[in-house]
Amino acid sequence: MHDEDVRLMLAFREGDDAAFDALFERWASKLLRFLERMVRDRAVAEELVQETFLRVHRARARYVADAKFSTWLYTIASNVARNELRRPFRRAPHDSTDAEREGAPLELAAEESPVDEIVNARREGAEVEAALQQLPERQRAALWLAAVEGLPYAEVARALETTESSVKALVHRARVALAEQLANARAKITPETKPVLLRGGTR
Amino acid sequence: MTTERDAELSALLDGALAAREERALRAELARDPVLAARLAELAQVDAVLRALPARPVPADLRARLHAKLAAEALPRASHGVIRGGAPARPNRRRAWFAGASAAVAAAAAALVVVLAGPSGQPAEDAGAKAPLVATTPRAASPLGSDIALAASGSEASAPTDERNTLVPQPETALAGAASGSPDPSRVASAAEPAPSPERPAADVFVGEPEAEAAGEASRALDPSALALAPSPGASPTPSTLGTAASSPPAPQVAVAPAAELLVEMSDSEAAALGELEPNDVGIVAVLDFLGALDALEAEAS
Repeated sequence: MHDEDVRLMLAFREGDDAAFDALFERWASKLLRFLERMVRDRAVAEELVQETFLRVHRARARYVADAKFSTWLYTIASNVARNELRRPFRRAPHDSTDAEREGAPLELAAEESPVDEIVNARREGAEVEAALQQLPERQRAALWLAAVEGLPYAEVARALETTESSVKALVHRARVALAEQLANARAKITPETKPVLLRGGTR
Repeated sequence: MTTERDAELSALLDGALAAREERALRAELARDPVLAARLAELAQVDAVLRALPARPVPADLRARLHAKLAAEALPRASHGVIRGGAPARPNRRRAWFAGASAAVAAAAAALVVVLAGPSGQPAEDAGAKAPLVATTPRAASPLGSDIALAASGSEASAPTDERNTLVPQPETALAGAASGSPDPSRVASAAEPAPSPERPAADVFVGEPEAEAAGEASRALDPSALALAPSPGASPTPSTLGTAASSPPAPQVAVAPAAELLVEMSDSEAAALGELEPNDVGIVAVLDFLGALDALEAEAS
């Protein structure tokens, strides 16, 4: 259990402030990506990254290296995101996706789409991103942590304060829903190609 | 394709199947192209998600974090005092605090403890055991910069000839501990300073040892006997609290455990409160007092 992050956290607990900065450098980007998907707002996600590290800072004396640092960090981040999403009068999220910022259209042109793999990939990404945002919060978190961050189900379960079997179901439902959206997106992008989608049995 | 089979494929992608289950499923995938195609569909989701571009972390994010950490590191007591102008980025919490502080400050300003006997008082009053209580005149703003808060030890056998002066003691009990109703004749008024031949008056709050809760005292005040203390020099002792323009020395005040501060405000006082600004110097003085009390309470606990 003594990975580099744990070593840094233990050093920080003992008063090494540089270790805290090192942890920030190592994790800020991943946390930002995760939290941006959770709250759907870049600026809010940046605030939540800060809040997550503030909590790490406050809790340093209580830190016990009984789990991977990433699990602990995502547990904090998930709670921070959940609090934000539960906040009354939360402002409407600004769906600023990567593709939008980079100038790619969010609306897919079903006709006259350039057959360009890069453009299509970007559009697929935008479609899947938009579909991801429509998922329930816990599905979104579970899928991201398992499929993108590569956390084992046991760690995802700890981070989301649930069971492994629940995580398995959450990830599965999320993945199936996005697969359907992705197939639809590809059908729109290349309408001449009939999508081959093997839907789940009960849908 | 059943949901159960999808769930297995999903778990396979996440490496969450037991070794035996995984071997069985892979064998099935090798035989079943439809199942294999479904696995590919699900895997595509992961590929697309992972390919989503990651924007860089803003360069100033760490600096912003450190600024918040620095703000958190400030001592709690200093949070309780608003110094200087309004905060650069007022927020709801700060705004709430300013409002609440103003109310508390008004309460504190309305309760002043002194130990002194006014002119012409019988000598037995000088040896009062309980803190003396006085309030600000009802017609005046309770938070004016000319208010001095004085806390007074009650053990002191204040000489009668030091009436109209603040004689604070280190082991001061706050006004709320006092009981009994004030004797109107012993309260000096700023508008109508207590007639004291020895002093220029107007620097004393005088109450009765038996004074009851402050609210009662407030009502029973004789305006003609109230004094608003011109803050600087009101008392030479370090435990004197409250000069608006200058930082008061660290007060040595103890709050009586059972103290209850009961304050009744007139409409004019309430209106005056509503007009106060967070950087009002009077509030600063009072908040300094409250912050010091806070710190002492923390120490005591």
